[in-house]
Amino acid sequence: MMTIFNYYWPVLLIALAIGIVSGVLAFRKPRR
Amino acid sequence: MKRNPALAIGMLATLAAASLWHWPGGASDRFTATTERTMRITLDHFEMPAVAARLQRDPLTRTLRFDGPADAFQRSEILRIGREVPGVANTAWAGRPAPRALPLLAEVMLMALACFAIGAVMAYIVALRRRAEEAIYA
Repeated sequence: MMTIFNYYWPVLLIALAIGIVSGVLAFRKPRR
Repeated sequence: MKRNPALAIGMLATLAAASLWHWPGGASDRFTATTERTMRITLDHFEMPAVAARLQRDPLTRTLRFDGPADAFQRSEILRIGREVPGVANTAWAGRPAPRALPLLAEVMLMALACFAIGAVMAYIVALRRRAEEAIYA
């Protein structure tokens, strides 16, 4: 399992970044 | 943006990125080539050039399939040695049933979704903290 990280770590980083961005957008304080 | 659409679009983007990296990005080809080459070198080292080693395809899984002449001892030992190859999850001889394995793409998608969830939870914690600060000090 760890070996796949050698081939797929960039896409996992991208996934983390997408997660942060959508989390920020999703949990932003609603504007009044 | 509303909560559910933002998360759903993010998940779809994550899955798309994982599959793009997997196939057009060539990660699956690199993984397959390296794994099969490692097993080929090992088989040659043990002087068994007639035995072929191939990752299971359609869909690609991390199961290594062997085919070729070998006696009973060699057959069981090759299976054991094959499992030592980095990245290989299962081994089986051609025509024999192998343990069920997730396709490599599905494994990668699950890992990517886990990373997505970690990022989203991090953003959620930051948002919670900000709200708590506002509730206390504002």
